[in-house]
Amino acid sequence: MSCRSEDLPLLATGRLTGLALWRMERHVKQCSICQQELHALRDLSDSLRATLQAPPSADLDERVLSIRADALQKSRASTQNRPLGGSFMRHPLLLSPLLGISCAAMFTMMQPPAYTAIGRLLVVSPNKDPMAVSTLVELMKASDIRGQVFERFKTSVPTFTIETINNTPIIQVTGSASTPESAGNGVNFLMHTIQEQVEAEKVIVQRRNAMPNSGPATLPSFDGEVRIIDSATMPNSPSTPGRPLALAVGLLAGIFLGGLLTFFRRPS
Amino acid sequence: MKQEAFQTLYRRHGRDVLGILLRLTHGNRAEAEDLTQETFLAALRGWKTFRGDGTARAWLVGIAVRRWRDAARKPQPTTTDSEVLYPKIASPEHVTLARLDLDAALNQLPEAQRIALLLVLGQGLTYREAAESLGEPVGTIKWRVHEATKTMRDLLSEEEAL
Repeated sequence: MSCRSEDLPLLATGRLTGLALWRMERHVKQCSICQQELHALRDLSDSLRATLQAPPSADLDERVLSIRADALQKSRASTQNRPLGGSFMRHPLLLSPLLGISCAAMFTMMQPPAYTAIGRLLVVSPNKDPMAVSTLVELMKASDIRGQVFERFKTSVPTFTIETINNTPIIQVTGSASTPESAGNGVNFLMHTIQEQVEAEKVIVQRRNAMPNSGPATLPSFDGEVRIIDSATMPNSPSTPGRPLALAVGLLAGIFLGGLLTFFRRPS
Repeated sequence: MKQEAFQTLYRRHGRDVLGILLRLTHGNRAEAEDLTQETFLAALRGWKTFRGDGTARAWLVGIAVRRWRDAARKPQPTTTDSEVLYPKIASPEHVTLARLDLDAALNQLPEAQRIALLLVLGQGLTYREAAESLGEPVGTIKWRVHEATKTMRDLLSEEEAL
C-alpha cells in the first residue's frame, strides 16, 4: 500500500474510523516513514490542543450560564405573539397542502375546459360487404361534412374523431368543444348529415341506373344504410382538465416546493 | 434543551470554543469571549438542527468559526496582547535562522492553512466537519492541512536544529 499521508492527521487525532483506520494502522506498522510522521503529528496535535484550551473568565461563565432563562422567555414571548404564518415558515412542509391546492387551482384555471360528447352509428350493408364500414369511414373523413359543421357552428367548432369499434359495424363519433352544447349538438349534426348524404347518394345512383342508355350500371361507392343508434347527450362536466389529475399534479408540486423550502433553510 | 444539559455542554466545551476563538481573533480576549457567548446562544437556539452525525464539539466549533467569519470584516486588532501572543518575525530572510516557537510558527502560516490546521489537528475535527464549518470543499481542507503540517514540520525542525 502506498503512503496515504492525508489520513495521518486523522489517525493522530483519533478521528480515523472503519476500514480506513484498519488500513492505516496496518500500513504504519510496516512503514518507518509514516511512523515518524505519525509521531510528529501527534506531538503537534498535543501541543496545539494544549494551547487551544483557554479557561473562560468568571464574567463569561456568568453571561453564558444566564443565557438560558432569557432565551426561553424571549422565545416563548415571540411564540405567543407570532402570527400563524410564523409557524408555517418554521415548518415549510406544513405549507405543502396549501401549496398543493393552490397549484391545483392554478393548473385547472390555466387549462381551458373541453366537453366531449359521443354518438354511434350502425352501418347496415345488404350484401354484407366487409369493407362497407371502412369505406364509409373514409368517405366521412374525405367529404365536406366538416365544412358543413363549420358553417353551422362557427364560433365553437367541435373537433371530431371517427373510428370503428372492435370489428363491428358500429362507427363511434366523438366530438370535443368548449361548451357542452357545441359538443353534443355537433356530434348529432354530423351523424344526421352523414345519414342524409348516404341517402342522397343512393337516390342519385338509382336514378342514374334507371336512365336509358346509361351504360353499364355503376355501383355506388357505398351501398348500404346508416342508422343512428346512440345520439350524443350534453356532457355535464368537462373532460379536461381532469380534476383527479389536476389535484394530483398540484399536490405533488406543493410537496416538492415544501421540500425545497425545507432543504434550503439553513440553521444559523 | 434543558438547562442542566446546556450548562453541561458549556462546561464541557467552553474552553475549546474560547480557545479556538482566541486563536482566530489573534488573542483578542474580549472579542473571543463575546463570540463564545454568541456561539452558545446560537447553539441553544439551533439545538434541534444538530443532526448528531458528528461530535458536539465539532458542531460548536463550526458555529464558532461561522460567527467569527461574520465578525471578521473588522480590521485586524493591533493590541499589545496580540503582539505578545504572536510575535512577528523581523524579516522573511531570517525565518530559517530564528528560533520559532509554536505560536510564532503558526503565525507564519497563511490564515486559511492555520485555521484548517487548528480545526483538524488542534480541535480534532474530521476533514468533513472542518469543511462544513468553513463552507469549503473537503479536498481543499485536506490540501491545506497537508501544506500546513509540512510547513510547521520544516519550521519546527529548524528550531530544533538551532
